[in-house]
Amino acid sequence: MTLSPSLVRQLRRAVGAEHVDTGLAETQLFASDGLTLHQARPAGVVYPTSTAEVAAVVAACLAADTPFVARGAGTGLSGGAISDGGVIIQLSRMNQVLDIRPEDRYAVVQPGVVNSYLSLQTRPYGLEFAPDPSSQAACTIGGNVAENAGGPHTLKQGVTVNHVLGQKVVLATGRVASFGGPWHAATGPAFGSFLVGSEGTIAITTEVTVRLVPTPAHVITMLATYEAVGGATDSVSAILAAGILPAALEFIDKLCIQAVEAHLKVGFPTSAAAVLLIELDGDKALNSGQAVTVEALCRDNGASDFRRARSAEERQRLWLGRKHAAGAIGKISPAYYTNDGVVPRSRLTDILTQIYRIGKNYRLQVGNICHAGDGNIHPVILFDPDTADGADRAFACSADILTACLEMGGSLTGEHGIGLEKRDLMPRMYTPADLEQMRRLRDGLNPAGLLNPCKVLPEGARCGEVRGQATLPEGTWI
Amino acid sequence: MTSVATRPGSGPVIQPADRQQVAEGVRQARQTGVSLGAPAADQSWDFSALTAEVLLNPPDMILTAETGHTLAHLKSTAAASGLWLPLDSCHPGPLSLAQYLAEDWSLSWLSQTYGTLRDWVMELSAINDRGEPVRSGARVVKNVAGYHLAPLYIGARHALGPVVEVSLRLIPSPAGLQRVRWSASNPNPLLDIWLQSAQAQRPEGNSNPWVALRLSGAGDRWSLEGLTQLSPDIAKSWADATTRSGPATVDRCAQPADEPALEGRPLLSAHCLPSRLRAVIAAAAEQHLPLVAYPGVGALIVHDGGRGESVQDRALTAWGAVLAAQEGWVRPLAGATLPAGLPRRPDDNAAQLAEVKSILDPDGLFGPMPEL
Repeated sequence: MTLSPSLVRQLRRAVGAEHVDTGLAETQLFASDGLTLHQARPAGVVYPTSTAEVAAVVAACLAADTPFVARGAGTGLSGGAISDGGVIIQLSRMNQVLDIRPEDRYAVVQPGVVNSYLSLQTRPYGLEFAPDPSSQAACTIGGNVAENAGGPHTLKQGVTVNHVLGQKVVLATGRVASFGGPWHAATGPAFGSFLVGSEGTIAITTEVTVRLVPTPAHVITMLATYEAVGGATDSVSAILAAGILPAALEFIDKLCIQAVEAHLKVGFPTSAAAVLLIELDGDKALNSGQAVTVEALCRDNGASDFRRARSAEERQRLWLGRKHAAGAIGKISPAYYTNDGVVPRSRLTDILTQIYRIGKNYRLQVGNICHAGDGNIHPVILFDPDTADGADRAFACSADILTACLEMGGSLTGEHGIGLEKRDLMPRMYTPADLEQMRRLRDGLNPAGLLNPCKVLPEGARCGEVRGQATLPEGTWI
Repeated sequence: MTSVATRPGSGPVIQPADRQQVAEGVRQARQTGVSLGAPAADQSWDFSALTAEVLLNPPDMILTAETGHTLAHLKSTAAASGLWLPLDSCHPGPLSLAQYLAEDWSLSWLSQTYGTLRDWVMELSAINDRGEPVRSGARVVKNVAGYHLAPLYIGARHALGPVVEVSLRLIPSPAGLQRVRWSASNPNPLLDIWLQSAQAQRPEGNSNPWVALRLSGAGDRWSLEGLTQLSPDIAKSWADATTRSGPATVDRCAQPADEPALEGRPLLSAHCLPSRLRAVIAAAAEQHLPLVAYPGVGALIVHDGGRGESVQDRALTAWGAVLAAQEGWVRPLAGATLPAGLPRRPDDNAAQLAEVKSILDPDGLFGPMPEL
């Protein structure tokens, strides 16, 4: 699992010798993304700074018949940005905000720009980049584009594809191309929109033009507390049925509440079965009226307590709790597996009931965080990696949960992507003809099969199993 | 399967009764080497019989429909459950979903807030060149499983395969909408109102007062109209305060109103930066080109004003030079023949779509894509 000397020379020529790593310890750092259950060590890592450098790296890899994978912050949760023996094209040095045009509501950024950093830069203009995944303090715009990232506020604002106007890319064939531009609402077939969410298997994005939206001038953030999970999910349906489209509508269950409070103490009620975090934004008068309705609906559906954030600080604390709810599980469990599935909104209560039952079957605790307004669930499966079958049970538990989502008419993933993690479950969601149509397109556009191989679609024996923990030789210092 | 000859100069029209017949038609065409599609193909589709029952479970906020249904029917079906499909069109006359999707008629006064069709299609079912049903996406409001093919099919005139069904995301129908309208003898004061509403004179606590907005007219008759969710008093006082051309008309709407239809045949859509739109509209007004513009997204549609072929190539060419200078470009609509020299989309979209076409329809069974 080493690169040929001639490829290493080409890579060094492309990006500079100091920006090519082939050492065991350095490459091991890239052996997983945020889903550490899948591990594969690349043979090399390169750090380009421009489209031209990325194109040169791609050309070198194509010539050497060596797989290559683009990577941002590595916060993905589907094993999508790892490579077994290939080259990782690490885009973190391409981190410049190239242009902000407030009058035309767009910004041009390099793919390594961190999500929340972009909004920090645009906020002085009263604008922001709407997609806000929970990892937004670390994840990058390029990764958001690859995975079509979402987040709590996509209920009202939409996901990444709704906010990408244009891209410059290096195609799998090595050609540099641009799709879209600073134009809003261009109609007709759009290859650039197809690229968003293609998980880095068709092209490597090297520049992104994103739509900026006005920062809401008025926001009301509320927390409803429930003694039963069903009351919270029923409240979600009731709020939407009342004609109210909140900016965010988030569900957190008892286990995650307790983990958050053990870690951050944001003021979530630890005895509650669940809480809903509800945010309204827009017109002040309209918000105020809707907030009264929301409270009444939540209480009608069993909320034992209901409060509004009285200050920006309190709002921030509530959101801190929500955005760190999965990570906080690390305080109460040696390992956890954050999953992602979708059900039709009306099946939220059913899927949560199923998840608790499935967890019990596998003797595993499962906490739940949901973008409830979207029907997007994030079960967090707690397990002990030091037990003989801990990881295997977590995988099996996850597969059962996702199968239940599909049986309810849902999807394998709402925002984490398929990657390696769910690749082999795709035949449960799509017919052979569906998958073949996707495969024709993928293989036609990535003819050498070297750009991020073995991801998204189920593969044959050519793609090895990479599940499990890669280990370094004893004595390796990192 | 019913096959009827229609318009002079075009081939027979295939009218399948259901999706199975669409698939069968593709398989037969493949065997006989006949191309399918519109407008240059040997045979074209009429999907008006693809009207199986619309599927809508209101709490799920997803509507699934075959493409023979009209957009108006889908919107009224959603509205009956208090839901809204925030898509519209200025197209003159009713459109089936198949027609709406084939050309992508979704640039509308809602686009500045709600985007276009591709932002709302969650699942798309088509027939591939082998006559097999293929699907991507899911009937849920959020999904990233697999490649989402809808952005390639929308606006492709079924040239990657006939689209037989789509699932569309819905939202709660907004309450308390007001329709606001101003008139003027030239577009400039109306553009000022838009600029003021977008920038300085935003009502307190509201970042974007507009749900929908459009400017339309020609010659000395112009209007700016839109939908706002502000309370009636605020809407009235704000509207009056922001106009130099007399008080606005403000009407309450029980339902989100549809965009008024074009008074002419659409010829092209044009796209530029919103900040450049004033110059582009001024040039169009100077050339007496009838248009409807969407200021928030820097787009406009030029039509013939109901005067048949009276829109002069010379006027379009002169206006096109200004558009090009403003870094704008045009997309011909509904097969309109435009004078050479109008600026076209300056990216690699068409080249890459040609590659997609060659991959998914290597034998050219489905006729040409309009973008190519």
